[in-house]
Amino acid sequence: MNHILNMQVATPEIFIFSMACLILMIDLYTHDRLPLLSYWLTQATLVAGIYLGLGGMGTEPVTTFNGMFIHDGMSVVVKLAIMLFTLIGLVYSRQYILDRGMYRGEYYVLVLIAVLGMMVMTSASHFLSLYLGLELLSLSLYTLVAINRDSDTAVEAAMKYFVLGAVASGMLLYGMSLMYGVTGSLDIKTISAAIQGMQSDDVMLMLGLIFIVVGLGFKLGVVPFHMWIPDIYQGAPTSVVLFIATAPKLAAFAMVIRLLVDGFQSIAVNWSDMLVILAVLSMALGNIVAIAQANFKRMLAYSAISHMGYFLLGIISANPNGYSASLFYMIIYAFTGLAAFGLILLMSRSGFEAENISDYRGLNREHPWYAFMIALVMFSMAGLPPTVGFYAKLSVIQALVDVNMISLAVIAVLLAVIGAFYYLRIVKTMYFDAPEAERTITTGLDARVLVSLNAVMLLAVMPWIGTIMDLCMSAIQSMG
Amino acid sequence: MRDEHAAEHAGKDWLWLAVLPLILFGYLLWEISRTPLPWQFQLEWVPSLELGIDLYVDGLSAQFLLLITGIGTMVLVYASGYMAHDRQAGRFYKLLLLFMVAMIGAVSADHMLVLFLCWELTSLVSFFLVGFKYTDEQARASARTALFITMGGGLALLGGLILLSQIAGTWSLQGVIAAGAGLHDDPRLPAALTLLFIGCFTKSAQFPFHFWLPNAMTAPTPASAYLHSATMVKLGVYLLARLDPAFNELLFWEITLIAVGTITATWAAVLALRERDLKRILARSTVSALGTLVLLIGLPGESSSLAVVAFLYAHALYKAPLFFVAGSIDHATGTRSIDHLRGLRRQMPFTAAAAMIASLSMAGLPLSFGYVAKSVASVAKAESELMALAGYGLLLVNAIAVAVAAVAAIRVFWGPANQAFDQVREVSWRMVLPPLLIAIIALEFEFIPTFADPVLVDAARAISTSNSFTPSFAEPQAGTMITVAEITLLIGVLLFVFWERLHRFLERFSILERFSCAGFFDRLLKGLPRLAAWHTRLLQHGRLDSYMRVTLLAMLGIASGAWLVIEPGWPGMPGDLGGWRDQAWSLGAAAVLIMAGALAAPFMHNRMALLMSIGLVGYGSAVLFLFAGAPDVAFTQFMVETVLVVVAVTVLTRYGVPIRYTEPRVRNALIAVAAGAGTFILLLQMFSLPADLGMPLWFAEKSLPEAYGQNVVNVILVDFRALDTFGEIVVVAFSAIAAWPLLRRKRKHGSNG
Repeated sequence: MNHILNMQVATPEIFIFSMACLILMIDLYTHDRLPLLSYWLTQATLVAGIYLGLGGMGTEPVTTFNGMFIHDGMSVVVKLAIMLFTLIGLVYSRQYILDRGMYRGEYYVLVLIAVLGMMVMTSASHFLSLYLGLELLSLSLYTLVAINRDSDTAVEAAMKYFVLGAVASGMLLYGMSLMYGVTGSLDIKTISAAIQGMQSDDVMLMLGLIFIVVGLGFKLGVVPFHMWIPDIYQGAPTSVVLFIATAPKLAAFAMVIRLLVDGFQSIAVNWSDMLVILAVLSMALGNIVAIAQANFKRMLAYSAISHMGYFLLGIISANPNGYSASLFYMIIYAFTGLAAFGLILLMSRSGFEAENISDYRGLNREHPWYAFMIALVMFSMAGLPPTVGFYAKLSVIQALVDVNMISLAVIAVLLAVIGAFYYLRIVKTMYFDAPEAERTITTGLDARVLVSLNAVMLLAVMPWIGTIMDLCMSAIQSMG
Repeated sequence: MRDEHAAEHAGKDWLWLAVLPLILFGYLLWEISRTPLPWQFQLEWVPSLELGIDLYVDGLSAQFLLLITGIGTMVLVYASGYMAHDRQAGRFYKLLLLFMVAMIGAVSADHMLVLFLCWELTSLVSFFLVGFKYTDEQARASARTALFITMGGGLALLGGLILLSQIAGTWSLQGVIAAGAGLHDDPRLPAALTLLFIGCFTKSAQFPFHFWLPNAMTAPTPASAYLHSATMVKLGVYLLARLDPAFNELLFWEITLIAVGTITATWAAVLALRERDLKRILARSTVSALGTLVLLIGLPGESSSLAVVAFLYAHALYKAPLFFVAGSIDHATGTRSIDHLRGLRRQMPFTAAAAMIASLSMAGLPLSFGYVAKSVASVAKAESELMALAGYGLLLVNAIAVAVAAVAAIRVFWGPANQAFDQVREVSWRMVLPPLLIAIIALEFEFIPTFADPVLVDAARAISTSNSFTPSFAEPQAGTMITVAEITLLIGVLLFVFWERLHRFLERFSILERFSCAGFFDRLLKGLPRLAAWHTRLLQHGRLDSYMRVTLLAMLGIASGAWLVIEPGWPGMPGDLGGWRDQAWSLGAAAVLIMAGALAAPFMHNRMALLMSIGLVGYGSAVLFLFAGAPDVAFTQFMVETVLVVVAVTVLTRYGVPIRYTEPRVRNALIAVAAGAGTFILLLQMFSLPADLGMPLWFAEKSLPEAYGQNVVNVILVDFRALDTFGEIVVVAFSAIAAWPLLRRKRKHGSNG
C-alpha cells in the first residue's frame, strides 16, 4: 500500500501544476490580444481544482508517493478552503491589479504555484515534501510581494520577507535535521513511532522540537517571530496582502497539524507549553500595538498576529476537539480576512490606496452599505456576537476550558477586550467622523456582490456555521 | 437630496410604534392570569455548539417582561414628543425596538449563551444610544467608556458562564440552579463566580465600574429612562438574583455582594450630592439603588427575595417618571442645571404633579409603593446579622434618596419663579402622560395590593432558596420601622435644607476626580496607545538588522530556557575525534583564520574591512574542509567566499553606501558570542547521538561494483543522483539566461544616465 504510486489522490495538485505551466506559456503569446485570458484561465483552473478536490471527500486515508504524500479528511477540507479562498481573493483583486499595471500573466501563475505549494504542504507526510511545499509557497510569495518592482516599499518588504523567511526555513531545517539525528528518519509516521517512548529529558529531541516550533512560529507570524508581518502587510500591494492573509494561514494550520500532531503528539506536553508562551505574547502584543496604528493594513497585520495567538489556543489543548476548534478558527479568520481586504480593495481605486484609517472617515454618509459591511467585518474580527468571529473565539476558548487551562482562557478573554478597542475605532471613524473627500467605487459588479455576500455571511444567524463546525470535526477525526 | 430625505423623516409621527409593546404587555398580563408560570420553549439553533434557543419564563422573568414592555410603551409615547423635531428620530426608534427585543431575549433565555448574546446586544445598542448625538465630543467619549465597560464585562461574563456550564455540565440556567449546592466544592467555582461578578457589576454599574452610568446620561432622555434606569442596568441584578438560589449559601457570594452593594450604594449617594445636573443626580441615585439591590440579593434571609423584587419594581416605577420629568424640563427650559431651575410648577403643573407623586415613592413615604418596598427591605435586614455595619450606610443612602427626591420635586417646582422661564410652556400630552401614568400606577400598587401581589410573589418565589417559601407583605413591627423611617426622613430633610452648603463642601474635594475609577480608566485608555507607540519605536521600526537581533535573542532565550528546564548537565568532551592529532597543524591554522576573522569583525568601522574579515572566516572553513578530506567542498567554499566579497563590494560602491558605519557593536558582539556558545554546546550534544552510517556505507559499497567509479562523491553526483545534478545545471543555466537581459538593461541604463 505504502509504495504504490497512487497518483489519483493527487489529481488536484497535478492538474493545478499543469495548468500553471500552461497559463505561463499561453500568456506569453496572448497577453497583448486577450489580456484577461490568464485571469479567467486561472479562475477556471481553481474551479476545476475544487471540483477535483470534492471528489476526494469522504474517502479513506491513503498514503502514496513512497510515503511522501497523504490524503485524508483534513487535507481535503483544507485544500478546498485554500482553493476557494484564493478564487474569491482573485475576484476581489482583479480591478486593483489592472489599475496599478501589475497585471501580468506571472501574477496568476505565481498564485497558482503558491496554491500548489500549500496543497503539497497540506498533504505532506514526510519532512521533505513538507519543506518542498513550504518553499514553493514562500518563494512565490516573496516574488508576489515584489511584483510591483517600481514601488520602493514593496521591494523593501519583499527583501525583509525573504531574509526573515530564509532564517525561518533555516530554523525549521535545523530542527528537522536534529529530529533526523534522533530518530533516523524523515518520515513523519516513522518519527512519531520512534519517539513514542522518549522522555522530555532527551536534550536532542527537545532542541529539535524547539527549532521546529520556532520555524512554525515564524511562518505563522507569532511573537517574538512576528517582525516581518507588519512591514509586509503595509508595504506589499493590497491584493498580495489579501492573498498572504488568507489561504496560507490554512496551509500553516496544516503544517502545524502535520508536524506537531502527526509527528509529535506523544510529546504534546512539551510543545504545548512552548505554544502557551507564544500564544500569550502574540495575543498581548498584537492587540495592544494595533491600537497605535494609523494604517489600516498595518493594523490588520497586528490583528493577524493576535489572531494567530488565538488560533494556537486550540492547538495548545492538544486534543482532537481543540484541533478542530483551531481549524474552525482559521477558516473563519481567513474568511473574515478575505472580506476585510476585499473591502479595502473595493475602496481603493486608481491612484488611491484606501489604506489609512483616516481614509474611512464618514464612509457611512456616502456608502452606508459598505460601511455596514466593514462594521460587520470588524465585529467579526473582534469576536463580538452575533458574528462568526464570536463562535470562532468561543470554540477555541471552550477547548481550553475543557482541558482545565482556565487562567489562559481568562487571559485570552481579557486581551480580546483590549482587541475590541481598535476594531471599534474603525467603526467609530466610519460612522461618527466627518468625511473628507469624495469616494467613488470603481470595482466591478462581481467583486461588489461577492464581497457583500462574504461580509453578510459573517453574521452567524445562518445554520451554515454549524455545518462548517461539523466539517472541521470530521476532518480532524478522519486523520486516524 | 439627503437633507430632503431627512426632513421627510422629521415630519413622521412614530407614535403608532408604541402599539407594538403595548400589545405585548397586554398579552403578557392576559397570559399570566391564564397559564401558570413557568413557561418553557425550545428551538434548535446550532446543534454542534449545543446552542439552542431555550426560553424559560418564571416569575422573575415575567416581572422583567412586564417592566420591559410596559415602560417600553411609555418610553415610545414619550419619545414621540421628545424627538418630534429630531431628524434622526427614525434611527432612535429602530435602536429602541432592537433593544427591546434583546432585553426580552435576555430575561427569558434559559440557555446561558443566548443570555450572553442578548446581553451583549443590549450593550451595543446602549453604545449607539449614548453616542446618539455623535457630533458631541463628550457624548462620543461617554459612549466609548460605556461600551468598554459593559462589553468588556460581558466578555468576562462569557468566561464565567462557560466555566459554570463546565462545572454544572449543562448550558441551562435552571440546570445550574438545580445543581445548586452540589457545585460548591468545585475548585473552579471561585474563578467562575469572579468572572460572573465582573460581568454583572459592570452591567449594573457597581463599584468600581460605576462611573460609566452618570456619563451615559448624554443619551436622549427617553433612552436614559429606559436603558439606564429601568431595564438594561438591572440585567446584572437580574442574573445575580436568578443565580442566588444556587450560591446563596456560599460565604464568598454573600460577602462579595453585600460589600460591593454597600460600597456602591453609599459612595454613589455621596457623589450625588456633588452634582448640579438634574439628570446626573438621578443617575447617581440610580447607581445607589442598584447597589442596594445587589446588597439585598446578598442577604441570606428568605424575605430578602421579596425585598429584592419589591424594590426593583418600586425603583423602576419611580425613577422612570423622574427621568421623564428631567427630560421634559430640559425640553421646555433648555437646561438641566438645578442652579436655575425653580418655581416651575406654574408653567408645568402636570409635570410637577408627576414629579411629586414619583418623589413620594422615592422618599419611601407612606401611601406610596416605595414605602412598601422599604418596609419589606427593613424586614429582610432585620433577619440578617451581617447588616450591623451596612445598616448605617443604608440609613445614609435612604436619607440622601429622600433629599434627591426633594430636589426633584420641591426645589425645581416650588419656590420663587425664575424670570428667565416666563415663556416656558407645559410640554405636550405625549410627554406628560407617561410619567403621570407610571407614577399613578405605582400608587395603585399600594392601594390595591391584590393587583400587584401575584406577580411580585411569583417573582420572589423564583429567586428564593426554598420551594416552600410563601412570601407575603406582612406588616413589619411597627415600632422599629417607624423609628428608622423617621430618622431617615429627618436626615433627608436636613440634607435637603443644607444641600448647597454640602455641595460646596464636597466640591472642594477635586481629588475625588483625579483618583476616581473614571480617572484610572481614562489613564489606562490613554496609556495603551502610548505603550503601543513605545513598542513601535523600540522594536518595529522597519530595520531588518534589529529584527534579526530580536529573532536571535528569542531563539537563544527559548533554547536556554529549555536547557534550564531539562537540566541535562554539561555534555562531556567527545572522546574519539578521529585522529585529529595527525592534522593538528593544519586544523590549528584553519582555526586561527576563522577566529581571527570572527574576532576582528566587531572592531571594524569600515564596511570593506568588515567584508574582508568575514571572508576570512569563510576561507578558514574552506581550509578546514580541505584537510578534512573534502577538497571539492573546500573549493566551492573558496569560490563562494570570493564571489560574495566581490559582489558585495561592487554593490556597495555602485550604490554609494557609505564606507564607514556605526552599529551597536558591543550588543551585537554579545549576542553573537551567546549564539556561538549555544551552537557549540549543541554540537557537543550532537556527539552523543549514535552515528547513522547506513547511507555512507551503502554508497561506499555500491559505487565501484554498480557505477564503476572510484570517487564516491563523483559517483553520487553523476550517477546515483544524476537527475538532481542535471536539474541543478538547468537551474543555473536558466538563471544565467534570465540574468543576461537584466544585466544588459542595467548597462544601457548606466550609459544613458
